[in-house]
Amino acid sequence: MISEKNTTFVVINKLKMFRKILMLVVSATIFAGVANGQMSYRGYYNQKHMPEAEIRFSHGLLPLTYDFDLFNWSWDIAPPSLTDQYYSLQTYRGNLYSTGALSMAHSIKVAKWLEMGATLTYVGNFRNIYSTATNEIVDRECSRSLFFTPTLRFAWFNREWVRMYSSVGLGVGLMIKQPYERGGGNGEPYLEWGPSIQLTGFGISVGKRLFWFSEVQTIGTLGVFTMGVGYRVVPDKRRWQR
Amino acid sequence: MRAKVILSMVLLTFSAYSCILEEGYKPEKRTQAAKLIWDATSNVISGNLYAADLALKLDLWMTAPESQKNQIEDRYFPGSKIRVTQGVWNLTGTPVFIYPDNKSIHTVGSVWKVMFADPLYTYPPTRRMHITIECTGDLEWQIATYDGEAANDEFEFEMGLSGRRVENPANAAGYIYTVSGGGSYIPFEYSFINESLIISYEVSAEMTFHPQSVQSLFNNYFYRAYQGKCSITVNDKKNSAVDDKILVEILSGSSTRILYKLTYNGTTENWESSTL
Repeated sequence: MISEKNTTFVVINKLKMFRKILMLVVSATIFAGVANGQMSYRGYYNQKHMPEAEIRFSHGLLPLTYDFDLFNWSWDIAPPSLTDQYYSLQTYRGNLYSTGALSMAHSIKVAKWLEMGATLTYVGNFRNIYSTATNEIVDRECSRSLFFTPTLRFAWFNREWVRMYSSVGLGVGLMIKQPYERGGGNGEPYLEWGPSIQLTGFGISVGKRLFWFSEVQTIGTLGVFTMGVGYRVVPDKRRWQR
Repeated sequence: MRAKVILSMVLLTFSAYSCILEEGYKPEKRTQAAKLIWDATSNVISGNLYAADLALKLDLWMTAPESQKNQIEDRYFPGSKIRVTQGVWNLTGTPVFIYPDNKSIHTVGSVWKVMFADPLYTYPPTRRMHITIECTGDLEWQIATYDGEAANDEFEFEMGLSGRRVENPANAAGYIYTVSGGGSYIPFEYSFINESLIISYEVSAEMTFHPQSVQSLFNNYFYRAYQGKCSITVNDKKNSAVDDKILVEILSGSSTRILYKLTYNGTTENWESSTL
């Protein structure tokens, strides 16, 4: 009875948290729209004025996902049962591989120093489970995470070929995890969700339309070190003047 | 030219990182699970031999001339005193109670009982249990054990013992035992509530167990196999598909090291264990 109450309590809390995060994401998206609305659109319709936009593809190292060990810390220090030890020794875990954070981002320039957009990120982690007796693969455990992160990018150095910037992102993410259950190998997949946060201290892009970029001093769901390529759609100002 | 630039950018992006987040761990040997089970089984046999040995040592004390009683008590019961209340003997400071027959434990047909009223959290830990020791011949006994509190209804132990006295006066053990028989048990470790394995064992070639000194709160020695063979089957009450076979062959044993061979589901490896 107590455990049922606790479970209900946890579920309600999670729902409340989810709503809060969803509201934050919606607010951030609306804020992006409102900020975009602060641009001067004088003559917009006459001149077919389009804001500068860009699309980025990147790869991030060591993204934070919901199976990060720190989140799984347990104060339960009871020694494992002999049954658990027995099954643990029948198999062993291979290397844990990660795809890193594979991201696609789109943004628009709402001011000379400010870009607003959103990033969609996929992170996959997997490792093989081997039989101790035969060294053959008996199972695989994996987790797949997807993050949607509205982002604000502040460009504090703007040149035609080089830009330097910092950014902050807040959104929502979910992870589907397929664990390996020792003994039976019938671990059920489960889903976790939570916030997607990305803070970038220093980012640099080099290029005009087609550009290369890298971000360091970062932490979050996009990784601690990010590198990628992007393409800028720069409005043809000469055409506006016709 | 543009294609080359794009390709270089992509390659630079995706080749920059190592994608291994955590190195895997491979056990040194393929029969480690079998070793775990043999160690636990050996400890179960050791616990029963230890209980039988206490009864045999008490008999030594009871049948000794008055002039030797103190000497025997000092050697065989260091750290404890033996006290009797209404015919039941207790080692002071321990949950061990011995119920002697009115005949010596060396008299054929005599039946002695030993009760561990609580688990002994020693090395190795010993469960709460009732042991019956019946003399069947000259230095030969049959012992049968059950868990009187029904906390572990899969616990059975039935073995024939033959004993010979320990010569080394520095060892608190009374006898060296050669055993035959078998039993079954659900593991008793510190997390025994979560145990689901049922381990059955049968001594297929007589095993000789020698005492090894250890400094612990309740005991001064435990038993280790120096020779013999034992067949073990591992089942799981939660998973009927588990039916693992283990064969243990002790190749040689001494007070400093024991060499043995484990065959686990068809894989055979040699092991060596040194003294603690």
